[in-house]
Amino acid sequence: MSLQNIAIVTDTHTALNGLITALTLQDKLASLDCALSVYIEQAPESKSEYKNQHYWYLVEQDLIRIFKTLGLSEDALVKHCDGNIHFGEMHKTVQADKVNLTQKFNSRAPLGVSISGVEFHHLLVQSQQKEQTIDESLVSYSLVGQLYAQNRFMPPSHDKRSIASSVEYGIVVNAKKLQEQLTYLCDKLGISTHQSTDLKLIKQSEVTPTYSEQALGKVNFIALGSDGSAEHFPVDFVFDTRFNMADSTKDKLSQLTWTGEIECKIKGQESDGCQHDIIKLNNGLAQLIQVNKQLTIELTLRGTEQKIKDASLAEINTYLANTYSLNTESMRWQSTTKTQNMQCERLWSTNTIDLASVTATLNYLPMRRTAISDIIDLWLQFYPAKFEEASETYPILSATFNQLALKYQRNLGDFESLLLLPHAENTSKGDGEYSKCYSPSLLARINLFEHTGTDYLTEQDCIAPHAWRNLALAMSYWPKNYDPVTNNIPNVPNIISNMVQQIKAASKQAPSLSQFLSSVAKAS
Amino acid sequence: MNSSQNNIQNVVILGGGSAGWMTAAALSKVFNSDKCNITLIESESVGTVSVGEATIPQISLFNTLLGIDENKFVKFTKGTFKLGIEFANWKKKGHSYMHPFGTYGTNMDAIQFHHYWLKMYLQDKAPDLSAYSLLCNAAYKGKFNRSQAIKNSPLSNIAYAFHFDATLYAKYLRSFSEERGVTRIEGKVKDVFTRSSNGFIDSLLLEDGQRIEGDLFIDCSGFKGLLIEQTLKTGFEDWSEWLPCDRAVAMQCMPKDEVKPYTKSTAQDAGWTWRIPLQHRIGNGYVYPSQYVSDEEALETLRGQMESEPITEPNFLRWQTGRRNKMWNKNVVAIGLSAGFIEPLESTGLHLIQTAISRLMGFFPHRGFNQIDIDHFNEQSKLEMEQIRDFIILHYKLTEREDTPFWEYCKNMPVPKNLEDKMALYESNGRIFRYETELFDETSWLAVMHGQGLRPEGYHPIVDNLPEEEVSRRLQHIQSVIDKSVDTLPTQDEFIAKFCAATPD
Repeated sequence: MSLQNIAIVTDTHTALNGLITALTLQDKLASLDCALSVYIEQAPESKSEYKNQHYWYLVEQDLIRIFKTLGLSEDALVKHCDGNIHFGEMHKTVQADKVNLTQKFNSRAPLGVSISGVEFHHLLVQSQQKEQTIDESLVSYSLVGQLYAQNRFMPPSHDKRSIASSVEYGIVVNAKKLQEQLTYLCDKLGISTHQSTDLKLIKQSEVTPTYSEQALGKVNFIALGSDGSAEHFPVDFVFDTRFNMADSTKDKLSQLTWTGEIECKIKGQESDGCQHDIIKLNNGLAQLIQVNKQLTIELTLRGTEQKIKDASLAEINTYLANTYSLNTESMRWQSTTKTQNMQCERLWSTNTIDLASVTATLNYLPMRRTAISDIIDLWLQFYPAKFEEASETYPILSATFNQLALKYQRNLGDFESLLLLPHAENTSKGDGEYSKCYSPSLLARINLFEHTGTDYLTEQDCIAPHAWRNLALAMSYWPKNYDPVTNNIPNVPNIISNMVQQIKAASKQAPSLSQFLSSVAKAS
Repeated sequence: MNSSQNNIQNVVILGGGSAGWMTAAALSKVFNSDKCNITLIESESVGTVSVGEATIPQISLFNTLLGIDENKFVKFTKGTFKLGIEFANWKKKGHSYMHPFGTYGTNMDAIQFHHYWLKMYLQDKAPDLSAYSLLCNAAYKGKFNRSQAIKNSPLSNIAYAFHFDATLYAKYLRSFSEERGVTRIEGKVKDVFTRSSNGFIDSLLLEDGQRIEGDLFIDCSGFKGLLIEQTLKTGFEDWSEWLPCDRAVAMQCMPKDEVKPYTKSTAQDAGWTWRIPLQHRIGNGYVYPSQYVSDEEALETLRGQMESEPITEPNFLRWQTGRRNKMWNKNVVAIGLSAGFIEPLESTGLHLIQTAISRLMGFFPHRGFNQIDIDHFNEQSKLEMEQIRDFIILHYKLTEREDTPFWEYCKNMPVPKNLEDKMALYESNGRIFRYETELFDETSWLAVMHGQGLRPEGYHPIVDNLPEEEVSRRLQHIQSVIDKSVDTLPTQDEFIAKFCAATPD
């Protein structure tokens, strides 16, 4: 029998994830007669270390498409959620003099185009080895890099021959406003939401006869409210986004021990840029990101000690003082968050999927994917009938799902680690205390890329090959060798130079970002 | 570092045949001959195996890389088209089914077609799966055409491969390669010299005294693996516990009837025979396990089943099923039979050559040889072969036959865990999962699992959202569209006569 009631269980800390889950399911199960309900638990303060509320949220293209299908257009997202365009991040390292920076742009779009089957970065490596000058910031090699640098915007063209077809972007929004919009959208679509201070998932085997479950059939229940006045709702399947991983978590994905996230908001920044800087600090990293006209800083540190916080604050203050004319005293620490990159061996147990482990830290990192959407896609391949204790089907479905989800998590974890770890360590990879953080697959991937610039192929890798390449280059993993076929390509420097000129010319055709944002804001 | 970043300058390919010349052709197409010398050593006195006469659709990608026109290719190799493989007597004696290259029916509401069909079939309310395959129907009726740009029609998606004369293909590739600067040396290897510093191969000494030096050696010397095994002692992983056939005998005969566009595989008391129709002859062979069948018995069986008198002498082959522990060891890359062997039940021999070449291009080394590249190459090669191996084992494992010791063994043998999981998943509710890098897709797994008699206990629950009458109506409609579409196709003979008939010898 087909699933009829799917519950999304969430809490006040992870409500945004819960709503995204509900809407993703609504989109993907559109043709089915299946009711969706969101249950929001008032999370106790004891769970505050797992608080997952951030000032901003990066909406990736997969979600943008889903929202659009369900009635929340891209323009509305920008207009009502203080949206801003995200073309990529500039990874910066402050030099010893605290003034000079090295910076590399991690573009969302592929760099250049492949020539005779040779990926563009091989041309750059060859040029560098021939001592030709290349743009080490990488900004010149993609249209989105130029748009980022010039604070411009143009939508992607459908004409594959046009350089504008290479435009890729996400949308950075105010997380609180997004949550309001999604709540409204759920309501409009008939997805019921329930709030409670005491929410309990009752297993089928634990249901007492008082709830007359026999009459309702073999189902699980969600209980809202205190025991005495509890309302009970039957559910066929549950997606749980709360951080209650203790029971099911087997392994930390990359042995990360990141703790102590501090978020602050600087008022007074009045530019229309689409800036996203990731700055290497001595004890972690800082992300500076512009959400509409406000610049937000988010620090991720290794360790919670006050001296680490103070030192990091001093570092970022110095950086800001050299970069912006800001009154840094206005910085206000908003929250502390404990984040851990976890891997769950069994995302799917009986009739529940634990989404928390795939959303623990990824929400605020530019991952190019929405893990919730990917996991739901994977689940749909194994879409089950109603759960029955005696059924042999569920264990087979869930075992295969879990095996694949584990591989997916590993790849996503590697991407996240590649984004974080080079910022986290002071010594080269493999030498310092963070050497154990590199999973064997990530090490193999980096080694392969560093030696030959080749893509590492693995199962369940939802990250596009160019996204891996761009990130590796932005993190300064530069290949030592290039594809030998590059030598067959005549006049590589001219090819690169022409491409850069074409990209620059195309970028100058684009209107400014502020013009674009203003036009969206004015639209009805 | 200089501008050529210490590039490989001398590639030596040992062995002609399909593997050697496919490699030479691809490398010569990609690399400039003035920057990289390619030398191929072969001896006319050493025969080629040439059993790779049947292919899968991916061969077109290789021909496209080389820029070979498809009609010309069929013409010069005296080839025919292939829409799938018929398996007779595999499930049980007297039963047969087709593994087509294309899909069944059409997916509905993002749910795979076969779930809708299963719901009705399990209630005896729908015909067999093959009724919903354009390719099965066309193959049995001897019809063929290429895909046509007709929206929403099954005719817009015709997947096909080829049967062709592998010796003629190798001959063509030789000419292609030599035109692009590949040097062919006639000769046999007398001795192999390795470097004392690292054990890499330095040069080959031929019987006529020539010494051929190289940076990179491609071992296409066949089963014996002259470089990869006899010189470098790479080691071999044996898979005969799952695939016990280790011999084949091949003979050719003239076609008696109309040539149909599919390969036929007929299970025997032990092993199986193939029938591969070309324009000018039929390739026949018997793959058998020496543990159960002697060479004489095999020859007798093959002769007894050929449709006309043989026109060639029997060609006996021996192999060990399995793979080299490393396909790339030091500065030697094994391609073709020297890398490993899986019996040709699903015509994967040429495909494995093709993917090995493609992988080699992706990881093409510098003279420094990076172990990380080599390890990654080997890991991918291993995975690819294991996935194909599992698909082949499936045919044996799912037999219902227990009429001979061979089939009794196959039916009851334990199989690799991944295969066991796939069978369990399908059996529980009709789900099929395909790994992203896996060669055979969901349709292939469905064709063989269903064809061999594996029946799921259920189907996708979403199917129940559609009223049974509607499911039935849609299935009938699909079947009717397929029947009508097949009627519009020309016969394969007509198609070949029009576009790609071989010139008579």
